[in-house]
Amino acid sequence: MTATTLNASQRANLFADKHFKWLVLAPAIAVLLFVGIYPLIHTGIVSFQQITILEENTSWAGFDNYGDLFTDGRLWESLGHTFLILAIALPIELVLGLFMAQLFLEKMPFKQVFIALLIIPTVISPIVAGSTWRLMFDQQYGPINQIIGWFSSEPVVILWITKPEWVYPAILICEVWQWTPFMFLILLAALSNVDRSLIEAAEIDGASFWKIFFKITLPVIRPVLIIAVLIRGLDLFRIFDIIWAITKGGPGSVTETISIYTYLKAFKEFETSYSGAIAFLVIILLTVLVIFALKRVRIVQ
Amino acid sequence: MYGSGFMRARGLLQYFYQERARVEGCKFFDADSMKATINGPGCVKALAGMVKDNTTMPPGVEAWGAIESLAAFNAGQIAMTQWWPPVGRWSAGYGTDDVAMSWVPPSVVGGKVGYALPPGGTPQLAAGFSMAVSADSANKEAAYLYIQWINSKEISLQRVQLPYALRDPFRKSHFESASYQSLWPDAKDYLATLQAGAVSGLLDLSIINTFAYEDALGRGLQAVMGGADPQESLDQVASDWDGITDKVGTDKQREAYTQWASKPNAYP
Repeated sequence: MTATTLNASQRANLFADKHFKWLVLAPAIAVLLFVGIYPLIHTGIVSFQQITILEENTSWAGFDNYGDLFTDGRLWESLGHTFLILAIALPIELVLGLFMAQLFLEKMPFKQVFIALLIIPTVISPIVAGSTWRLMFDQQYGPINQIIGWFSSEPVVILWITKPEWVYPAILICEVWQWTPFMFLILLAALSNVDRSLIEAAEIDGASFWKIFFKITLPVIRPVLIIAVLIRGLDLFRIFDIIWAITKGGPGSVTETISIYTYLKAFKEFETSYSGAIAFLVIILLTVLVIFALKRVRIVQ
Repeated sequence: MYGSGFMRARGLLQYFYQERARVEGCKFFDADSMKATINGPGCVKALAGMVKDNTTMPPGVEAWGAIESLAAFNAGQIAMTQWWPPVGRWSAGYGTDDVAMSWVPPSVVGGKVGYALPPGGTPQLAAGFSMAVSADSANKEAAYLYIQWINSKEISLQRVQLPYALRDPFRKSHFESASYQSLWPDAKDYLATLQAGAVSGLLDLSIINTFAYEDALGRGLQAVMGGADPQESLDQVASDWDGITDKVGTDKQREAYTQWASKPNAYP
């Protein structure tokens, strides 16, 4: 049958069959372009202008805003804080999640109930989790210091959200509490797919737990584990809510992360163009890091 | 019981600090060069004094906001606090039985509360509320007449006595009102103190991009509450302020600052 012999309805059907995947994808692509690509391009344009709350002249500023990035000490400090939290929280969440997942592989009564209870923190909004932990750490009303006091048998004064030496532990406790269950759930699913017969055979051959883990279990769960680490790593890089609720970046700017700093610049000081430049710096940094990570683990292939 | 309990949280602390610093002779800027002088001797003395005051307050006060200090005062845990005018009537027990005020912690100190201006006699929390007609208003005349009516002697007196309105006395006739003075046994003292504060109250700093200056100051002060050295922190604040002034433009900011500083009660 040739195209010339088809009526309009048949031609429409043929077109739909031929381009079905694009028709299905089109709305999603349109939304993505609108909410993702357009703001990205617009931010890029804005970052080369000089838009602030005060500036009446919003003409082109060339690379001025990008040049300012290099002399902005607070920006680089906030990046340092971000990497510090990432470097501590991510391994803890990974190890704890893996440990818990390994534990829950075994048969136990009420296993499903325990799993459901354990993942509750991940479904709580981070700002709510942060606010709740802030209250928990409160010297006057919070239970944490009271509980520590029971063990030390005298009243304890730990100013979790005021003293620089305690704010990071406070943030990390909240972060690890909320997101370790995410690691646990993903790794539990991955561990469930490990062939038990291989492990049993290794056990019969006298292989130790660690040998089995590194030679059999880890290679099987590695792709999932890497994806979980990437997701959490990216999440940690943009950490905002928990810190905002607990310290608002303080005391001083000790816990300011790159997200908090960008927010303050963009929506408190209204340094619109400069915050656009910061956003692009973050995009570039993250893109480089993700490409590097993916290449290293050969997931791209 | 502790001697006092003040607000020390970021976003609030800087206003209490600016009041005390100005009483100690601190000036925000050198009016000629527009260089920040927030790290001058009076400014440092005020901040060091505030840190010292913390030893008279409950542990953890460094993170206290408005509600913590209100709750502690009404619960009789602290002997003294510094707050906006409503604390005076709420702690006396006036108006807090209204359902709309159920969020106010109940007071156990009613009848034992006295009122005074802070040291120096120039409070910064004496600011009022404003009403304005938008330039885009479709009915400017009616809006203006409404404002006139709601601020009239009779209606405004009713309004400032509403327990849930958060509207503090502001007209001379409010302070002298026999009905207001009889609302609770010490209401007369309360009104007299507010009236004195209304006369001597200090102005909030108001220059170009004030938020950026206040935010930098708030960060520096919070660092001190966390244990940093007052002089070093204020040096950093001064450096941040100079950076902001450079961005705004020294001449433009000098003009704005000179205008602000020339107003009565910009400085004591």
